[in-house]
Order: sequence, then structure tokens, then C-alpha cells
Amino acid sequence: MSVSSSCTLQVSNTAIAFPSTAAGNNAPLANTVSATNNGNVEGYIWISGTSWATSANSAINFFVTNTIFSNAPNQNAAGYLANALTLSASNTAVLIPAITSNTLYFGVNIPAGQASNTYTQNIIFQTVC
Amino acid sequence: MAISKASFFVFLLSLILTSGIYHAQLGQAAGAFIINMSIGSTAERNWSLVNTGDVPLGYKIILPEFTPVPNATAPIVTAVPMNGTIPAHTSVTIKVIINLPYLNNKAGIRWDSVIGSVAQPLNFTQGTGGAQIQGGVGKEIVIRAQPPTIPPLELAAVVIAAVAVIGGAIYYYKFKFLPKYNSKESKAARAKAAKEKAKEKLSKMEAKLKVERSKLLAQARAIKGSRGTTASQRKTGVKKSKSKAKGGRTSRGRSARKK
Repeated sequence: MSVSSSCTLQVSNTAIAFPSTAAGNNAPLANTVSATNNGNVEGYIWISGTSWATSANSAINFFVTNTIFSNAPNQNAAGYLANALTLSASNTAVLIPAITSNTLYFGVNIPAGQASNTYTQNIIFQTVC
Repeated sequence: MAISKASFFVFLLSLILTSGIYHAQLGQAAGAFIINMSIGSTAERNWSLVNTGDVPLGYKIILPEFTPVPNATAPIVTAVPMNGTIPAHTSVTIKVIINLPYLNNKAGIRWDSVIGSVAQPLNFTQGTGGAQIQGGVGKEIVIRAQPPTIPPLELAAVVIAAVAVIGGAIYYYKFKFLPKYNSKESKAARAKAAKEKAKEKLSKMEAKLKVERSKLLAQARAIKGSRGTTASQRKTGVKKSKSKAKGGRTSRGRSARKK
């Protein structure tokens, strides 16, 4: 079935396995997710996330903004600090033209004093056209 | 065994294309929902999600969160259905319902957010550890507040209240006030009051006439007394003499000298 003037989204991976990182340190902006738009119009990537929590106890957590992203590894294109992930969807300003892929790079800042554990969060990619 | 570059490339390309065909993904028609709506009203939009793949695909809707506007109440967005399964190469229509509350809102305020969707394989299980990635499509919603219109329910309430007040007033006048007004005692009391009022008016008029009469009498006396005096005498107030010494006639008509 074809839809005129449409955009789609397919992500390259279902998870990012960040390396094990000590409290007070950060996992660098080197973990990638590629988003592919197989539609015939371009769209922008919007993303949102949830806070990091343990599977056993959701009260043991640290905030979503500790996850950072950029369209370039280790920094953003303008050289400023990378963007922080938020609970509500925000426009990354990364454009995916039709039948094209684009990549985002992710890192995590672990708060000082954060308890040692296995933490999980969700990141949602959307193509908005 | 070495594989020529050309055949390797074809093999790789076919692998990618094959993967693309069987990997279901969500799609949508381009274009944002731009909604001009009155404060206190509700708007609806239909949003089609397409499964472009060869296998059924689960989906769920993510409702938008609006950036707070100071001293204003954010719109409330709901969607029906909130989740489901889309068969291969098929679309589903999501009804998006937007309500813009009265409270604290004014014309001209603008809200902007995205209502999202994420695709979920039918055998999806939430992983643990690291960041779990999900993808879908989103539709931008732009809401511009317009001046409110009086909703039919409130208008009806105002009309009913007005009818009740007017009806109550008519009822009171006809069944409470008029009977009392037309009763014998009431009529007698009113007649008595009218009589007393007329009497009072008459006595006031009589008093006024009395004063006028006295004034006229005084004027007449003054005119009578001034006859036979010259203008200057009248002016100086010299009274007319009885002229006994000068031989004028007395009241009896006899000359005073003769005596």
C-alpha cells in the first residue's frame, strides 16, 4: 500500500548497551542509533526518554537528562555541549531526507554517588513530517 | 574463496533490501495538525498510521506534553484507540481529540507539541539494562486559541434561569400582589388615603389664596388712601389732610368755619 507524501521511521537497533561506568564519570558520545526514513518526504527526528531506573526498584533512579545526544560523535555539530534527553519529545533538528538514514550519538553522565546497579531507560525516536 | 566486488555488492544490497521488506515500520501522511479553536471548545482530527511492512505490527500512542504557558491552562489531548495491531500493508485511523479549557485561557495563546506513536513487534518484550530503543512517527499539533463562543449548554442554562425569574415575577404579581391590591380593605385604604391627600391639597390652596387676598386688600387700601395726594406726597408718604382749618368740608358737609 502506498501513501502519498509520507514519511516512515525505522531504527537500526533496539537497545544501546552503554559500557559499565563508575559513578561521577560519563560514557562518551559514541553509542549510535541510526534512523531511516523510507518515505517520500523528509522529516525531523524528535526524541524523548524516561528516567534511568533499576528493574527491581523504580525508586532507585537518576534523571533522564543525564543521557546526552548529538549528531556528531563526542560533541554536537556546533561544538557546544551535547543536548540532554527530556521526558517530553523534543526536536533534535536532525533532518532525515526521503529514503535516507541519519545517525545520533548517545552518552550518559553518571551522577556522583549513584548506587551501583543495572539501570534501564527507554528512548523513543519519531519522524515528524 | 574470493568473491568479486560486483557480486559481493549485489549480495549485500539484496540482503539490505530483503531486511527492509520484512522489517515492519510505521508511516504517516505528511503535514501537521494546525488547529484554530475557540477557548472552551473541542476539536477532532483523524490521524492515519500505516504499516508499510509485510508482517503485522503492534503500536501504541504517546500523548503530547505541552510546554507550560504562564497563567494559562494547557490543552488536553486524547486518542482513540491508544494501541492496537495494524495488519501488513494496512493503515489504522486514530481519532485525536483536543479540548481547550476555559480556565485562564485567552485568545492568541499558542501551544505546540507532538503526538507520537511507537511500533512494537507483536512478540515485544521489554529488555533490561542500557537504553531500550523504540521508533515510530509523530504528528505535530499546533493549537491557536480563539475567542470563546457561548456553549449551547450554558446558553440554555442562562435562558432557563431568565425564564424562571420572569415567570416567578409574573406569578407573584398575578397571584400574590393583585389579589391583595384588589381586596376591599386595600381599596378602602387607598380611597381614604386619596381623600386625605385631596384635603391636604385643598387646604394648601386655601392658605395660598388667603395670602394673595390679604396682599390684594392691602394694595387696595394703599391705592384708596393715596387718592388726593400728589405724586410727591405719595412718594414721601404725606397723608391726605382732613382740611378742617382751611375750611374744607367735614364729613357732615358743613363748613368748619361756620361754627
